[in-house]
Amino acid sequence: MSFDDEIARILRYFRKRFEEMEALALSMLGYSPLREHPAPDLSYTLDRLRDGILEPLVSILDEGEHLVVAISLPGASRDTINIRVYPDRIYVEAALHKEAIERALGTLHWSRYVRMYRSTIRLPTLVDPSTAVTTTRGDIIIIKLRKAAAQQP
Amino acid sequence: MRGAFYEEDINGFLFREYGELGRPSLLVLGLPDIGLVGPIAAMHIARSLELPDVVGIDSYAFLPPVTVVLKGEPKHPMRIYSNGSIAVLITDVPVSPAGIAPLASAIVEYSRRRGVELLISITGLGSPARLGGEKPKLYWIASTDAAAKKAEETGASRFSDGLMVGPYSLILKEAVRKRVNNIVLLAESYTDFPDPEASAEAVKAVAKLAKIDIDVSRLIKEAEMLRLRLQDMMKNTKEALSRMGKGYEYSSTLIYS
Repeated sequence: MSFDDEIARILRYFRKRFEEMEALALSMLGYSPLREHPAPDLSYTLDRLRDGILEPLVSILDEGEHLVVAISLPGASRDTINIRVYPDRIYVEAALHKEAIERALGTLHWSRYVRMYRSTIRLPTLVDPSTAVTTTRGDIIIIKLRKAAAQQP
Repeated sequence: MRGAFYEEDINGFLFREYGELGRPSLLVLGLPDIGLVGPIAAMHIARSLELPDVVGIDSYAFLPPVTVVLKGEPKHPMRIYSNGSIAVLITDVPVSPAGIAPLASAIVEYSRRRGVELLISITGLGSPARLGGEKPKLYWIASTDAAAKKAEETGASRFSDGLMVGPYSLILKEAVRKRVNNIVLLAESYTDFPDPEASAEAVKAVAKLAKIDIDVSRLIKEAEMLRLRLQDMMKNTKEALSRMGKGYEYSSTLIYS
């Protein structure tokens, strides 16, 4: 082991001990501003922005025999909305209107990179994709799905 | 962020007055909650009445280290807008669970010290019926008999039984304790999406209480744009709400009528 490697190993050791002591101190204080304000994960947010992607807001409602999945796609070009329903998930993709972005987000510096919605929505129960009935309420797409036979209450 | 000419610390929250607050009879609270009904309503009232921001609220312990920049001017993340007769509290960041109790107490105490006659809290009542396209119903809860009498003027229904979780529940309890008039307006709203239509119902009720006209047509017209603009705030709010036990609101009370 070279001298540099040995120094790096010692630094790693001390950094680890320091992190443990810090975690212990924070837990003894019972309060951590970082824990109390868990900001959106920065790397994840930056990764999505690099791809120009927004994740749509989703609402899932269990109606017993059916599952209702509502997806909010404000500012999306209606003719680009692509939704694929699988037994365990829904894939959604839609291009965003440039004007809608400009109007909604104004001069926010990161907004010029945003160009589309994309998300894979994990469903809480298995569904029968052939039963999907889709309606819209403005920018909200509502998909009603019958649960797979084994999942019926 | 203009220099303050008066500062007051209440429970770790610094109220910096840099404009003329006056002696507003109403203070409308727009704290983030279900459907962002409060923030959207408060923002609409401030914009419609062209209220200037006059007080900045900050806490280095309970709010994230954020400076809001509006038209090139740095601002506090939480601000009060006022024209001297009606004031509106707006925040750009959700309050952390640890900060809710001190903030609730600070808001009620600050209102009491400034002689505010009625605190109006605006919140959403998550309802699956909204996805069916039903018009949002409006309910109220009041802290005092005088506030209840005022609330009846709105034409909304009294909220009878249920649990309330979050900043508004603590503001209500503090208001009861300090005999401050507080009306909580609860508009049925989407559970997971910003709901400007629900906010519009709350704004109409505020207009009746303030005996002024506030046009809500713009709010309805711009609903889609607002849902896009407030996506991130909605995500952050949901996260904060789930950590403060918002799910309890969907439980039933032990005693029933």
